[in-house]
Amino acid sequence: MSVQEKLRSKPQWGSGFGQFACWVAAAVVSAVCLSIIGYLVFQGWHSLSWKFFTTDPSESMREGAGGGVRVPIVGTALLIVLAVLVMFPIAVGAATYLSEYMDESSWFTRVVRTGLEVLASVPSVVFGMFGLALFSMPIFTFLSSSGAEGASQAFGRSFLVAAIVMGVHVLPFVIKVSEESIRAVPVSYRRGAHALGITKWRSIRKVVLPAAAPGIVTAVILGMGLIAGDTAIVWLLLGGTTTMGASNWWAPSQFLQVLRGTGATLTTYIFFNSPAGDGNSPQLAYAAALVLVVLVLALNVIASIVGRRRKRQGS
Amino acid sequence: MEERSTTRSVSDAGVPVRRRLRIGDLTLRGGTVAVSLGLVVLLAGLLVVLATGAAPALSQLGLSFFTSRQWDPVTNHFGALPYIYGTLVTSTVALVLALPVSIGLALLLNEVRSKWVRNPLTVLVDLLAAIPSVVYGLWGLFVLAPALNTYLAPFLARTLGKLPVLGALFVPTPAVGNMLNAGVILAVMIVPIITAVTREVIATVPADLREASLALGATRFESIRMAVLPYARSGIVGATMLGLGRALGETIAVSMVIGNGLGISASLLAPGYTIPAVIANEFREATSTGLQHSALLALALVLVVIALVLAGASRLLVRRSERGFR
Repeated sequence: MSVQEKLRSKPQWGSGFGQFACWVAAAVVSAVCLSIIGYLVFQGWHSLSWKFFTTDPSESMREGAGGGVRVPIVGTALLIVLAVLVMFPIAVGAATYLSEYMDESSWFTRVVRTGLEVLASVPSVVFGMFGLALFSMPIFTFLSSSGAEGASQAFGRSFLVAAIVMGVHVLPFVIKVSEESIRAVPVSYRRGAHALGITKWRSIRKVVLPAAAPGIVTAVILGMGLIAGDTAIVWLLLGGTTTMGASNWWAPSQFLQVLRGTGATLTTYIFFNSPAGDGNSPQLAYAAALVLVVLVLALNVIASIVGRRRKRQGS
Repeated sequence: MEERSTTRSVSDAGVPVRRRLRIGDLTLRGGTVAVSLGLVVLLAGLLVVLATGAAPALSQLGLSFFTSRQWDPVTNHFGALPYIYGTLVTSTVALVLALPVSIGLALLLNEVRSKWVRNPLTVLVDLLAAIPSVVYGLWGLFVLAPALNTYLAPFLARTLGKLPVLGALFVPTPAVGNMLNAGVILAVMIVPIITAVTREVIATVPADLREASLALGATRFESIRMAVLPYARSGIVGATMLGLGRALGETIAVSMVIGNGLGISASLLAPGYTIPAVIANEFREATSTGLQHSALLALALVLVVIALVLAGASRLLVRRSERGFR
């Protein structure tokens, strides 16, 4: 039966129904999204106060006494900064290799590409397990303060450990976006640099990477959003607490102890204040969730502004 | 050395570059190669750590690891069947719910020209993608689960529950956390992914095809159904697998709403448990040498293998569809 015959034999009600179904899909998704955001704002708004941001979580999460989010916010910020420090050089290096040096036909390039795709598909909870199994080995004691005295294993949970694993977890994404933005640098830039007689590495350093910088920054900022929102890795590798492992964490002399110690993030605070984490202060969980969502959205907006500037430059 | 210095390094530009190697060039090139190599080593390390960790459990428990329903640290017997079952069931529910919605949304975003519809919808879908999973869990716990348990579950039990075969899926239980909740939450979480990829795939369908079908007298709906969707089919399947991969690995949101109950029940309204959820709940406490530790690593290995197969298949299908030969 030709397409034309097929068409003639079809009843016409399908068109209206199909369109209707598409609109229903859009309505459902919009309703769910607005319900989530609306509920967060509606329930969390009242708990937002100066006190909420300047007090620490209380020892006991029960009976509605969850405390504030000072330490969790510091924890989230610290984790983001450390993870970006781990991830940034690797991401730029790998993206530069993939876009500037690689030879599509070589087996090594294919291995790297496949490896990246595989890494991108590994669930974050598996990364968390891997990190805990790896960094519990005695030789990694320097990354996390050891647990019990005389234990044969490292504790395996600290800001450093969590940041390393978190950085690795978002790497495939950041590399992919960075590579695209490096590839988007016009060929004329490279030819111009070459015509001036400068070496390839200087042309990459002085011409290509600066031109691709907004794109790379966009990738990193989006990666920061992923880091702020991830729970599984933090849950396994940051100790699953609501306090800083190190006492007097604000003192500069304690900095190393903080890095090697456990900690809290906004995500763990939300979890522990919800019934799922045996807490009983959903209002506070909502307030913290609101803070977290605003943070992630702000990062996304900044990323898109930076990205837009790149497009304008490119044209 | 000689061979390296003559590689065509700016091959995009079509300009073969022959030049002397300098220290800087060597360092940068070496550095980027080393970093890329590091990624591969890292992946190998991950697989080795998982495999060596899982080996004791797999050799000691053998096939019963996959077929036993008992997960009991006291008797040191670990059967993964309830977790595997729960993971597969929740992901399937998520796909069944998310796929039609995503395709509808992607079509709408491609077809509707009015930016008053398109822009807000795009923003909302991006918003869904940006919400962290623990926030989904919180919402699921306080909004979705009560709504489903009060209104939808009794309704489903009354209507679909009466059907001969399908009815087994909707046998009511008093549990608050159940697999339906988890499936719906997962569906919401994967809609943005499937929509984004599907939208890209549909956008690559050549305009000729669409115009040809319209010229034959097809309505817009018919041209979508007979020209656009068949062309984009393998890409949409790839997008689905990408979403499935995400659903399989989702941890916190699922563990918050699924009820974390061991047991295999045909009913979606009964509590369940998934592989990521049990890892998150038990891996922190598991003593680092015991069989439980090893069994959890074996579960992770199962998860990674499933994720790998899905990711591989999805890449293949999306790429094939983008290149346009099916």
